[in-house]
Amino acid sequence: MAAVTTLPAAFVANTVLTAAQLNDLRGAFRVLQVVSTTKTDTFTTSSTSFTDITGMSVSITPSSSSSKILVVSSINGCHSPSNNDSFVRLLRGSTAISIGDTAGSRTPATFQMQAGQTNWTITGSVIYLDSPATTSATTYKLDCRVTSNSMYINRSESDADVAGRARTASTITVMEISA
Amino acid sequence: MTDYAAVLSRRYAGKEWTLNGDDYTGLTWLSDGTKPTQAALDALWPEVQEEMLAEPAAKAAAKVALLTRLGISADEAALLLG
Repeated sequence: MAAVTTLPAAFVANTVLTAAQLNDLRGAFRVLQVVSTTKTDTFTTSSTSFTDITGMSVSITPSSSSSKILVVSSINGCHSPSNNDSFVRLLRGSTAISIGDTAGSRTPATFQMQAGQTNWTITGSVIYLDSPATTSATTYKLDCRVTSNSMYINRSESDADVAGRARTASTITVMEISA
Repeated sequence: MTDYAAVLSRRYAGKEWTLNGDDYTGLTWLSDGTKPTQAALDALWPEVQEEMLAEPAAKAAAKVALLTRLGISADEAALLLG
């Protein structure tokens, strides 16, 4: 795998790189693999404890422990537009990542979702560069919880069978980036 | 087709569950006790659907009543809120 530290710290005229250094240079800073999944069906929950969003999970096995993993995810949905809230977290395995600091009783989350009308959906998204420091299979996923009522993914709350209501898709993509 | 998420949200308040997809088979019950049967949820759907269909009209009627009570038009209300 590319290890840019094997390259010369500075280049000068007429420097000839070795084959290994050329390979390192070729491999540096590039996307080594991409894994993605798209959820096209719906998911609804009334759970007040964080629970996995079915179908919003991907597994990637980094080829080097120095690699970065770029996570790009968006989900579409809503929460009842009353005075209630829903929260979404990005996790590596069982560890929440890309969440805010603990601050009193507030919920550390990646993002929060609440639509203004029962027939609306909104998009929540995250872009996060992770450093898992492993070559083992690593799972990235989203989970969610509500404070009360229900949270809806890929549908509006009212979800009437008319053209004015949307059925949407949500996606999570991970990319291994050479260090 | 029964909107199981709507029935569960409106008739099983305080109970916790997840529903993956639109079908009853996607229902996972997280609260204590057994999950409601598909037949029980199907039986509740007509009244829930009627309730949902009536909500926009009820909301519109309440808005008109409030505007009348305040003695202002919808445009004037929008101006105040803007």
